[in-house]
Amino acid sequence: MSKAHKFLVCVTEEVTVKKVKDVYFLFPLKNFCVGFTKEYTIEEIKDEAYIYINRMLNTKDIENLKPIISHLPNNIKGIVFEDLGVYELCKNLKIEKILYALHANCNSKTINTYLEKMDSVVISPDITYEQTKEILLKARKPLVIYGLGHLNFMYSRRPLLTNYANYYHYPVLRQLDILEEVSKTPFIVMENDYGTVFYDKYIYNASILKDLDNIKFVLINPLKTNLDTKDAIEAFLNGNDNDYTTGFLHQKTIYKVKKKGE
Amino acid sequence: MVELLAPAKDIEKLKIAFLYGADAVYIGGRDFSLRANATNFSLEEIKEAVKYAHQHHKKVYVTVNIVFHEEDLVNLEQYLIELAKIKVDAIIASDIYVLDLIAKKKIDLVVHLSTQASVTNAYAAKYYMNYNVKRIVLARETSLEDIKDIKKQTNLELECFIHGAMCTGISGRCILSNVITNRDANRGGCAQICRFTFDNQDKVPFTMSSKDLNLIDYIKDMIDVGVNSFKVEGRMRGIYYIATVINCYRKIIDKILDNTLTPDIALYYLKILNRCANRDSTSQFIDKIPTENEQYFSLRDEQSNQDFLGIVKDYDEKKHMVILEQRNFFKLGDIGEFFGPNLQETTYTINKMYDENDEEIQLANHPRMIVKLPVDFSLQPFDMLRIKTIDKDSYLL
Repeated sequence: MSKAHKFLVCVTEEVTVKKVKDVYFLFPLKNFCVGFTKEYTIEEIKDEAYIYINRMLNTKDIENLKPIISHLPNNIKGIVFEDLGVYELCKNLKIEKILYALHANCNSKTINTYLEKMDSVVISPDITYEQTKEILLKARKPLVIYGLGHLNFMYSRRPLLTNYANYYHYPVLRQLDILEEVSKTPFIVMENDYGTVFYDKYIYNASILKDLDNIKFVLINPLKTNLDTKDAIEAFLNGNDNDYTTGFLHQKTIYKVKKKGE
Repeated sequence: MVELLAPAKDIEKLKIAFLYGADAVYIGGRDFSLRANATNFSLEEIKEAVKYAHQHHKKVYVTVNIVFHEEDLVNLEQYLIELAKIKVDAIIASDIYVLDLIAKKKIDLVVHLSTQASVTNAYAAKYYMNYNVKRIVLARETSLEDIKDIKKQTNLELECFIHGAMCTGISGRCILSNVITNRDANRGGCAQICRFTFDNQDKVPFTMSSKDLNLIDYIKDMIDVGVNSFKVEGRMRGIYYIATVINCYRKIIDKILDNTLTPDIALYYLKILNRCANRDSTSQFIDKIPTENEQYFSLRDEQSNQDFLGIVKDYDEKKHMVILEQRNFFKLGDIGEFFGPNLQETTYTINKMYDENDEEIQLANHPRMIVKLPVDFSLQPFDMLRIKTIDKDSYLL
């Protein structure tokens, strides 16, 4: 029988936000996120929720964020962020602080170091099942795993779609489906005023992780999946099928290319 | 303190970088470095590099900046202890565990935070101050205003990239290489997928390749806002690139510091810099968010460069003859320019040349062949000859 997980669900156009047991909602904060089609102001978030800041921030952004952080209403239970400047801004607040550094948290010692200050950390989905399992075993606090959604493969500060459109005098699109020419790998590219994100076109499902211990939340991002909260959670709980990818869970990346004869 | 910081792939490039004016170099060890497939330095070679550098009152920084997976942590502590024993001047790291380990184990190492940490604001910088970071290598996405604010709020040493190739993504925030080639970008295996081409249905293929970075016009502003170290990218680059770029920036920085830089001199060095790489360069993020002008939309815009004609091996004072090792084709009638660490750029027309047996020749067309040229001014080993680039279009066929 599967573990009784708690889910942290990104609020996207696909999601119906209503109170469900063990489901918490994560709202992309307006002007502080990239790679979403819809973002929310603090005022628009009515129920108990977490907010998400996934941008790397400059000085002006920090100044704009300060008043928001210092006046967070009581319904904001926690904050998920990438830029460590956000931690410095909210470190004295009694809210949960969860670090989601896209590709950085790939071993238990790094994660345990962060956990000296943070309440939790999202394990990078760039590693294998075995590596993830080892991290969960060694982590000093329960961690967040990325359970279902499109994997983020690249984050650029550049407006790559606008630049492409401007160069060729095309109308500017904020979303594009493209294929890498040789490998035919498909991507969804999304842009807003703060940068561009390359997502895997396929939907990642880490259902294989569902029986592991020490998980605080299973993070679900239904963006561009056509799955509502309930469907996305069920997809995670019911296991993989041909509709999904398992990313790097079964595919260890190469550290060093072997020289001839090695 | 204003430091010019050069890349070095091996001991030869390290010596060239110092000779041409670098105050410090950054190098990668065989492990834990973000150029996993480069030659890199063994511990013995790092020891030799540090000894050489310190004899010349220069510094060596060693990169330990991969994103560590569980199995990569084996031997990390011992490696850091060895680097401390060798007395490297600093390590460049981004992983918080590396920083914490050095602090908790009291390993005698100065830590510079790698650009992989992508610090673009003072609050993020403050987070790392808790881990005794002495210097931060700022993200290439940082603007001049951000640099100013970070300096003001932290007073940390700041290091900024000023020249070289750019990532399309934010450093550490791209795994396209992992996806397409399975090579781990954040452990030194980047296959530069951002320079590939992507199908966009019936439209012109999508590309996003970045032009290079060149901040020659911003060095003074950067000194004024408190940048301490000016970093040149390119641990995979050859000696001509290192010599040319370091030589240009050395002269620019020195002229700024002694207040003798004129627009003409700046333009002259800008033209040289623009010739020495195979891509155009721009100021990128320092003054704006990059537009289509900072990217390539056809990779055919890249050009190979064959300006580097040869390197001086020796100079015969009695015969007024330079002995040169050829690096690119040249012939009688070509107009070149000698330059070197202690040599003002000097125009030279190739009117006569000889092979190593003193036979007169018309062409230098064999890679690394020895060529003798009559030159009536003194040259030093490691001076270089390049095609005279500034007015090249007007005289080359």
